[in-house]
Amino acid sequence: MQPIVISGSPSIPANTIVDNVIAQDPSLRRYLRSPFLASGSLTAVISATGVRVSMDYGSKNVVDNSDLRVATFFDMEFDTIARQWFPNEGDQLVLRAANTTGAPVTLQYRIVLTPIDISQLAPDRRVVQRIATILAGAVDTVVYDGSRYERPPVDCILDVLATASAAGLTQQVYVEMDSIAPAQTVRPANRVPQVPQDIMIEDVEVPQDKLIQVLVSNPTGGNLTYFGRLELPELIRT
Amino acid sequence: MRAFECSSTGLLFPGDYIEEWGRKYGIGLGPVPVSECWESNYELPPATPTRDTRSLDDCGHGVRSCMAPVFPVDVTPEEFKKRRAILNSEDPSGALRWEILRRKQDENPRSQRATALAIRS
Repeated sequence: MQPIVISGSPSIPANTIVDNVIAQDPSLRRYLRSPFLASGSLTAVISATGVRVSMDYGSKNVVDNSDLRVATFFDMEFDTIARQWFPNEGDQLVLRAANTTGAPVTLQYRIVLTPIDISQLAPDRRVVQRIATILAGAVDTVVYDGSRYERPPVDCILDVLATASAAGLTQQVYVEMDSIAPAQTVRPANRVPQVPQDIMIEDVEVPQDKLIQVLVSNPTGGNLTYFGRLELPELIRT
Repeated sequence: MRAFECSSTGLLFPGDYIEEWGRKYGIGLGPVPVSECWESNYELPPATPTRDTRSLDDCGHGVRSCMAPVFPVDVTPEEFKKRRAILNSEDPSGALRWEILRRKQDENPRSQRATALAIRS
């Protein structure tokens, strides 16, 4: 069997949530369900700030309401936001896009489904990526407050990626009451984090339902923007 | 006065555009200062109305940050006022800039916005 590549560049109308971008394009409706057990990857960028995407297969979420990099075209190496998820044959693919801005914005995406054997099945890697404004002088702003993966639904390994819009931000990471990383300077790359250069913390074991807190401080005199991503590979497949 | 000009649109940014890059201007556009002006993405099909669309004004060709190079210029205050770009920080939802771009899309012969409005997906 050959891999399937589903790609598109739809414009998302202003103030609109598109429940499934794949279903919106009539020529892609035949790919709404995974035709085989597959290893999936999702690569996506947006043309202007303000669109968030979620990715589900079957009833499982792998990308929670996430901001994307602003670009006209994506870079396969760096803009792959979800690289390890495994839909079964017949699982429906749902790529949801929410445009909260007052203008239509173009989402460019590519989903690649590579057929695999049951012996290659592995735990999924769940992802959330957020952009947050950190006010001047703010201390310990909780970045992922209210996010679906603030408390992971299963035991998992945590990777934290981060960048800042300009120099000055620091971040600390806690899992429940354990301090994983004391205040670290965040790299001022002014774009969403990319693998591997923006990985700040790797391989932290997080038990199910334990609180992940990323606390960001801004000691400078002006507002700064924090770009962060949590990657949560599951320890066991659910 | 000193300003920075967008090489794609000809619009002007304030004199501290480079100095305050990532703080006041160009959030999320990378480490190298470029223009944060919006332009229409005529190469791709426009957004069509869905059952959730509140207004046909919300549809059209997508906008994009043009990310063209910027270069320093000396202009009079009057000229700056006339050609000043609407900054992302002044129009975070993009509604003001979309109002302008939508009118341009309706005038541009390359635009397929009018056709798209007749299609309901």
